[in-house]
Amino acid sequence: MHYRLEASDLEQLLDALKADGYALLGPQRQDNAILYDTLESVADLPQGWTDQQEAGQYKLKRREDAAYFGYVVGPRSWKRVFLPPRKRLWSATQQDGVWSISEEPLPTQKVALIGVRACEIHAIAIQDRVLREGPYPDPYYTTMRAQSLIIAVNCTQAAPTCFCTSMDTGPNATFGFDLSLTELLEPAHCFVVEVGSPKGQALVETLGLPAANDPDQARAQAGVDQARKQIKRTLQRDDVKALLYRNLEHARWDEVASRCLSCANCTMVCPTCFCTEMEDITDLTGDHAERWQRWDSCFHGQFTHVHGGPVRQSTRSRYRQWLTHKLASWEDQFGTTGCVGCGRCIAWCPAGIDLTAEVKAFRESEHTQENNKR
Amino acid sequence: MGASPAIRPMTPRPFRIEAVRPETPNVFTWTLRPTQEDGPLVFQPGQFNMLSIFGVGEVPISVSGDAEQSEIWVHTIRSVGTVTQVMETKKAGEIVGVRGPFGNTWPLQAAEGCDVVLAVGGLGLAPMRPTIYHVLHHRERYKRVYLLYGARTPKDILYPDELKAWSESGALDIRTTVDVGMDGWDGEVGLVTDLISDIRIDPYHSIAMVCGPEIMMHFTAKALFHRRIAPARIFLSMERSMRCGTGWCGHCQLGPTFLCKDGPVYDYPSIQPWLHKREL
Amino acid sequence: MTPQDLKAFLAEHPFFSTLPAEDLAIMASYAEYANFAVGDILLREGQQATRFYVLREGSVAIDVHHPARGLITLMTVGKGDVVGWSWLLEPYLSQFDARVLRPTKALVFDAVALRASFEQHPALGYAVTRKLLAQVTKRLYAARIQLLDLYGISNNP
Repeated sequence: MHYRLEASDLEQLLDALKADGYALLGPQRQDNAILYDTLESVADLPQGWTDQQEAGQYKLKRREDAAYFGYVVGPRSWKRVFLPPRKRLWSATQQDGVWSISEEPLPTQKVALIGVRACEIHAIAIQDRVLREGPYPDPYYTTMRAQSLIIAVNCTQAAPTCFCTSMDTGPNATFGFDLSLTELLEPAHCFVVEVGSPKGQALVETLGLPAANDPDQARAQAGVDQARKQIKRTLQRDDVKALLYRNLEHARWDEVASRCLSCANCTMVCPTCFCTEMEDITDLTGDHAERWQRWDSCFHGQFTHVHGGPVRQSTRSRYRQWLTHKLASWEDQFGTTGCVGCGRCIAWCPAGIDLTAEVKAFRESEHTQENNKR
Repeated sequence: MGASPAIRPMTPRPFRIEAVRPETPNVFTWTLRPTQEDGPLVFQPGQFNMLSIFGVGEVPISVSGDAEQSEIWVHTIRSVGTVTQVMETKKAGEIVGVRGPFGNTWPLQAAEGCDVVLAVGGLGLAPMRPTIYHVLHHRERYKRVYLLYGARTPKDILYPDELKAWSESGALDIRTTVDVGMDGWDGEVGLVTDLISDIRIDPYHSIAMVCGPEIMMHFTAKALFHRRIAPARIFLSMERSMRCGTGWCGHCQLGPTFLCKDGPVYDYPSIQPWLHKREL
Repeated sequence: MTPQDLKAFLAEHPFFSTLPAEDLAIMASYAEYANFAVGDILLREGQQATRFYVLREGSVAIDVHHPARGLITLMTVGKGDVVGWSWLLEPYLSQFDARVLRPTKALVFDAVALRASFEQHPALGYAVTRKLLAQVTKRLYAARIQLLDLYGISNNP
């Protein structure tokens, strides 16, 4: 059952969520990018803007229409909602030689995520495997996940950096949402709404949305199909794990290392990268101490520090760790690939390194070797 | 988490340093007791705790005490980094934080009825000591038990009094070798591997547990194959930078595993593809 | 030990076991079996290398004397190991002391005569040289690993 929401009634959806106690998070134009942040109203949405992306490039551009969700993905993923870039774990105070430790209170504010892309839903599901479904569930993560509501928006256009079709993660959301919207601009600006949960159903009923008619549904499907057709980048996924494991000492790692700046951008923008570092701080008296958890990256020099120095000293070894983790060992660890095909690491790499091209290079070098043998 | 499920896994509990015992140069042993009664401290030999100095930082340290003593933690620590250097300055009575225990355990049950080879290098004896205690408590469950120990110099030999007592009791056949023989040392000088060629074992009913630097474990495993111990019956305790103990932080990955939650103990075939690979 | 016993022992010993019977007989003719007590010196640094030893049991320290630090044991060798190979290379002078650490049983070879016999039996000379090279390689590997000072920095886990 699909419903229809007039574009002019989008505010009512936001109001209904607010009335239900949700803080809203959604896309908006900030710092020349489309970022997810606190949303007050529909007016905050990046209406009439789109993003242009290529390897090493991201630029905002005016659209000729009034689409609210007419962009693809920006540098900020939703992971910061559940795994903040920096959070305090506990603080401790000393009095007369006795330390008392108090845990950071867990958040209680419900949040609604507006405009979650299909690939991002997969990214959240992948992080669930890491931080919610392992032997030690992360209390902050599980709390925020439990009190979050997801309004997905299906993609009707793709960026040249996108390859979700190779990863089977898009362009339309198939699970993991409360409501999903497909934005239609013609003949009238509206959304085709699909319900994904009882909470979503209740919202539809609160708003009293009418059923979407067949032409609307067909147009929504055509939009998604159009995005699918626009996707040109590919990553052959079936044997990539074995391919990378076979080639841990391949010369290509040196080649990519000659371009990689080890800047960690790819890990920061990646919606599944989860590595963190623990940081202890204290005041001048030494009577007050805190531990913070902050995002870390396998590209950082000290990431593998053991007594005597880091295990991965070269950029070659760090890029190898990142790519083999993302596409190979992630499967061993969590039963899923660590890549959703969102293309962020390609667009936000200052050197324009493209993981799909790297995988192709490995594959082609093996083909060349095979042919040479014949 | 062993002791207290109410506490979040990242929150340390305050423990008092009950005793500090100097061992070898830069190496000392702490006895830690919880400041609040909170049930027995349960661990399996091979597991580690995360020890904190408030405001300074946290490091993973293997438990090196006796698992049958459930009211204290015993940890042998080498001062080698920022945090452990501060630890070395701490005195009895001071408070530190403890999280854990984390990680898996040595195959003590699988080893029952077998000859047991414990091969350790350097400070690797500390993580192995709970296993030794276990074997001594249940000596009848095991056949010949060898402790092969490679140390840096005679001065660096850890727990010398206990080694002597274990050896004299006849419960363990202990062979020690050092890298540099000096100060009147009249024992063996050379690699742990050299000790392996001379032990009497039934290779088809033997289990080897190896703990030490990665290179030492690599060549020790090879020497054990030459004694016809099957790779699947050789276990290694791996080392990487463990920061959380829970598998969240990603630092201790080695190939497809997280040392903190899947390890640190691995049977040789499962870790072999990732062993001795440069910068992996 | 009778010459026959010597030959049988050589045939079983890993150092010689791959040699053909006639070579074993030649080797046996230059060997005698001996017991050594703790403290016996098998080789002395700087002296003519006229003998070498194949250990059957026991432990022998390879020592060097350091003017300030006294006697330093570089390594110990035992069952199956060879002590002494300077007899094969000019100027035929031992480079280290070899001191018996624990009661030791060994085959002692007349190295000078054996070396001379290699002129008539180059194939045997080559075979023994290869076996000694294997021992040298093993010790070079061990020495390199010892140099790494592996136990100096680790804090497992």
